[in-house]
Amino acid sequence: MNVSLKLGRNTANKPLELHFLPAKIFEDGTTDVDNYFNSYTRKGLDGILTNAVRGFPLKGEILKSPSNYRAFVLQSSEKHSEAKVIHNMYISGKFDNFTYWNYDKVPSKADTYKQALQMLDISKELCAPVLDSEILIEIDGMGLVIGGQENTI
Amino acid sequence: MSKKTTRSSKPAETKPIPAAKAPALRKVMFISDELLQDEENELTLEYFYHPGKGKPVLFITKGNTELMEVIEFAEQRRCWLINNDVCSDGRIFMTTPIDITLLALHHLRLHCTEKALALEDIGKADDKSTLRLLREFVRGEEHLRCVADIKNASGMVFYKYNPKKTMAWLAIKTRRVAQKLQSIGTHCGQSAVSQNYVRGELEGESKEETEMDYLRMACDIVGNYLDLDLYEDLKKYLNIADETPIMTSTTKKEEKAKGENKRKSLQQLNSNNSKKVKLDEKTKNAAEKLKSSGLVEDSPTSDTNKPNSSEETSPVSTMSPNVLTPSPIKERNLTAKEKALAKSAKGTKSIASFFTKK
Repeated sequence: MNVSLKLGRNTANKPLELHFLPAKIFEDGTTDVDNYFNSYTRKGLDGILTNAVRGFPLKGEILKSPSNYRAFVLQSSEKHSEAKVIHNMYISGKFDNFTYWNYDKVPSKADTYKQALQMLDISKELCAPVLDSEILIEIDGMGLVIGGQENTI
Repeated sequence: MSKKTTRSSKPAETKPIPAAKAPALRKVMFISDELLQDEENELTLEYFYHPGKGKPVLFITKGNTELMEVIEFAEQRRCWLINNDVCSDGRIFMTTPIDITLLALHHLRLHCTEKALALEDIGKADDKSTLRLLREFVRGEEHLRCVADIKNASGMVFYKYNPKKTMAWLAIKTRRVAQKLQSIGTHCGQSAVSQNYVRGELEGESKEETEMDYLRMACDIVGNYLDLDLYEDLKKYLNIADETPIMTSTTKKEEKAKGENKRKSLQQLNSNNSKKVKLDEKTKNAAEKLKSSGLVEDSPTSDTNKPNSSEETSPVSTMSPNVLTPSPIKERNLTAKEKALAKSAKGTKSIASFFTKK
C-alpha cells in the first residue's frame, strides 16, 4: 500500500507549537493547551522548564529539529484500510522547535531521543561510497590472512 | 424558588454534544532536506524488502530516483500536543539515507551466486516491489560494482555475486562506522549503561578493548541490513569475539576463593540438613502420634495405636542433649498445645476424614 505525501507549496503558515509529553494519551482530540498547560510552564534558573500533567512533574527544554531536516506534521483523513489504494497524506503544518518533556528527569544527553538522533549521522556514514581502490587493497590484505582458504570462496 | 428536581421528575435537558469529528490521523515526521529540494515534487511512502528484518519495511521515495529509509523513534508512553490538539501517536518518523547496494545485495545473493544475470532478470515475476527497486533505483554499475563482477556481452550487462568483494566492502564500511562512533563519543561496551556515568579507567586496562567494542557495535549496525549468514561471516572476518563477562586477574582470584568458600558452606549445609532430617523424623513421629490420639476417630492409617501419655513424653526423652536447636523446645510446646487441643477436640471428626477415599 503506497502512501503519497503531498507536500505542495509551503505557505507562510505560523509554525506549530509542539510538546513531546512523556505520557500516553489514548484519545485524539481538541483541548485548550494554552489554558491548561502552557500557562503553568515555569523556567528555572538553569534554563530547564517545569510543568506538570495530572500532578506528575515534568522537566523540559526547547529542542530544534535536527539540522538538515525539516519537521512536519502530516495528516491523513482516512484510516488505514486493507484495500491497496494509494491514499494521500497532507502537510498539516511545520515546526522548527518543539518542547521536549521528561517525566521528573532533567533532559540530558542520556535521553533516548538524543541517542536516536545519533543514528542519523551514522546512517550517513554508512552510505558514503567506497572507492574501488580501497576494495582492492582490502582484498589483497585478505589474501595474506586467509591464505589457503581462498579456493573455497 | 426553583422546583426541586427529584428522580420522578424529568432530567434537565442537557446541551446536545456536537458530534465529534473523525479524528485526523496525525504523524510527526522529520524529512531530510535532500528530498525537499523541489518544492512541487511529491514523495511516496513505499514498502521494500529489508534484508536485516526479513520483511517489507517502509521507505520514502522521490519519483524513481531517490530512496531513503524511514525509521521510527517509538518510546513507550509518549504523545504530542500539537497547538490545541492531542495526537496520541507519540512516534517520530525520520528519513535516513540508505545504501541501495545493501538492499540489492540480498537479491543478488539469492539469484546471482551461480550464474550472471542481467538486472531485469533478477527477482521473481510477482514481486513487484523488488522488481521496481532493481529496475528503477539500482543504477547498475554504480551500485553493484562493489559487490558483483560485471560482465559485458553483446551490449547487455550481467552481474554475478562476488563474495570476496562483498566482504571487503562490508569490512571497509564497518570500520568507517566504528570510527564515526568513536568520534561521536557513543558509549558502548560492557560498562555503557548510562550516558550520565563514565567508567573510570582501571590500572592496566588496554584501549584495544574499547576499540573492539566500537567495532562490535559498528558490525551490529551494518548487520542490521544484512542477511544473518552474511552477518556471521562478517563477524568472523573482522575477528570480533563474542561478548564475555569482564574477567580481570583480580576477579578470577576472587571467584576461585568464592568457589572454595562455597564448598565449605555446602558442607555446612549438608550437616545442617542431616540434623534437620533427624529432627523432621522426630516431628513426623509426633504427628503420627497426634493422629492416633483421641483427636482422630476415623484415621486412614491406623497402624500405630499407641496410648497418649507414654508417647508424648518419649520424643522429648529421645532427643540428644547435644542438639541445641529451638525445635525440641517447639516440640514440647506443641505437645502441650496438642494436649490441650486433643482434650477440647475429643469427639469431633478430624479434617483428614473429609479427604478419605470413598
